[in-house]
Amino acid sequence: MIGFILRRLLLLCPVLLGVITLVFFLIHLIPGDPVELMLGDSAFSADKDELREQLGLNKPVYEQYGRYLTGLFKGDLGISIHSREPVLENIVERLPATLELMAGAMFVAIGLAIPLGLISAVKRGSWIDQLAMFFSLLGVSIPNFWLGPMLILLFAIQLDWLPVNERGSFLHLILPAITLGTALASILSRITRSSVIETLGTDYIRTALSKGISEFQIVTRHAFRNALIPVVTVIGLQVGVLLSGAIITEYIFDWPGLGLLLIEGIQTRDYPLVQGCVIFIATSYVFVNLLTDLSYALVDPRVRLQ
Amino acid sequence: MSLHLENLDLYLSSGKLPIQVLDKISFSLEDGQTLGIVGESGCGKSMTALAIMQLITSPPLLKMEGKVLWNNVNLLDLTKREMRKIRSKEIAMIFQEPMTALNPVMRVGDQIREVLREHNPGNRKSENKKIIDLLDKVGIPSPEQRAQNYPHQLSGGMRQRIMIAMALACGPRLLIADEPSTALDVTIQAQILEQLRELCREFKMGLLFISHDLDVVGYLADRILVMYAGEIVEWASTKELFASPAHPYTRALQRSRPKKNQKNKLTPIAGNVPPLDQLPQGCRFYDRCELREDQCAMQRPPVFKINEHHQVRCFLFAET
Ligand SMILES: Nc1ncnc2c1ncn2[C@@H]1O[C@H](COP(=O)(O)OP(=O)(O)OP(=O)(O)O)[C@@H](O)[C@H]1O
Ligand SMILES: [Mg+2]
Repeated sequence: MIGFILRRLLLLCPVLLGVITLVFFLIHLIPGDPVELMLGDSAFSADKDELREQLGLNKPVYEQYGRYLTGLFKGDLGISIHSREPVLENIVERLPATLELMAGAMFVAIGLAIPLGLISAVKRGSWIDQLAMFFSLLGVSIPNFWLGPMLILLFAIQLDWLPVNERGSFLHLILPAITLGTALASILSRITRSSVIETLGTDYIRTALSKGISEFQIVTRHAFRNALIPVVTVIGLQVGVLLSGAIITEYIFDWPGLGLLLIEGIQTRDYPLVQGCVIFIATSYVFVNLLTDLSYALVDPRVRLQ
Repeated sequence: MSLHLENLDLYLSSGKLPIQVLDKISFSLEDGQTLGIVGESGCGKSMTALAIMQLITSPPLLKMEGKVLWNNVNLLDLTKREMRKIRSKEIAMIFQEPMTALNPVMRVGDQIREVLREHNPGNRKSENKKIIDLLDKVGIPSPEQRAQNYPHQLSGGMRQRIMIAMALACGPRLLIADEPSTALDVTIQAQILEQLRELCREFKMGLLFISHDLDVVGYLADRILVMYAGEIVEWASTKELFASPAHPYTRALQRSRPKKNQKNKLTPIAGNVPPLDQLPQGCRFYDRCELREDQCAMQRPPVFKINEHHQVRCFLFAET
């Protein structure tokens, strides 16, 4: 187990290096001069040159790349051009908000999808099944940039039940979490349903039935855990999608997380900030995948971590 | 205990069309006896077994008619809850595929425990002891460790032994074994058969043994049913069936099995079992029969009695 994790971590190094390199050069391909943006057109060219030197932007790109890499090893993601603070500090400051949003969305998704998928599968063809599958079709079809504003209009403005804009109490989390979690809930409920149906048709379910145990026990004890294996895979894969969805959701709800930070960075051409955010997000995605692989072993004893 | 099937018909849905998979299956199995069912693949052996246990779920199950009398109670009339009390406690079943019949994410010991807990609940310690005893009884070495294993850690033969242990857990009066050894290699197969035979004797348990292999059935069974395309074509005591097989299908089966001192001289039965949705009007074996007559194409043969222990569905034995 420990060996497996270490080996996987080692394998992550080239992946991460690739990601960093790609992000670095892509960002530098973006047209536009951050210094112009910061100082405005009217600034003296001497001032601009001074700032360029200060930020290292006057050096050749490969030298900037080298300096950036060595900085990364020391946990230095550079200095934000805009806030003049270390990028890492900005990220760490915003991270809890994003984690809260994603956890909320995950909670909505799993909390809705797994019971719904399970009931749909067991009561296949019934009106509950048809209703649940209708909503799940609706759920994947609605983009979050539409759903978010609609929820705000209805629940925050019309009905005035829930607060929006900015982070705060638990109530603030409800609408963003639903916005972000709906699509995932829809996907997961479909996967859960088809996985449970498939599992219910297997030989070992028939064996369980032949023991004389109740259908409830068969579903909960035998079908559920087996059916969960593909669901866990999809959850792992969907974290990346959730992360990108979080960027839009944060923008809609003015939720002060990483996504909003990234968008602010893009709007101000804050190279180091955008770079730092993207690298941070990509790295977390890679680690989530590793966690997903580890979690298989928890659900499925046949998976040996070698 | 006694099991009587009376004119059991079974219809399944295959695609949109209903097909009749079992046609008027009748037989009886008395206390402690072993009844064998033989027949080619697809002739309805497993379906007969599953119908007795009522393990065919809908879909594909459309309807079952007739009677499955267990100690004079028709199992088809029982509620789900009543049927659950019969399964494993009175009638237990082992399945054709040991590789897929056990839950892959549950320790085998716990899978046996589940049966005990349902029908004879005790405390964990007494259950553990019972599990170890059962595993020991079916010939599993170091049962304490094996009980902790997951199915994928065990060989096919071991898994089938686990299935047997599970089936025996509550001391059923009848064991249905659906090709328990077909998926295993020959030496393991022989061990499992021997084991089953001894266990049935020891527990004085009835055995309904299913196989496509006439020799295997002959080894275990007191009496044998020969099935073909969803119906019973011959019923006889084992001795009589081997000494004087009556139905042309049974004779063909006998000729198609390997014998001692005989090399490469198997005679396979020409042709195939007719699909159940395209059964001929007359005898179902007509196309492949060497002794067919005109009558056989027109009319379905009824069951003729050769003697007290021997019945056959073939016009050759019409009492004229
Ligand atoms: N799920 C199903 N849906 C529809 N028809 C089925 C289904 N399962 C089995 N059948 C039909 O029932 C018939 C009898 O099948 P059964 O499994 O009883 O055969 P068998 O004698 O046990 O064969 P084998 O030796 O291959 O196990 C087959 O011809 C098959 O076409
Ligand atoms: Mg079968």
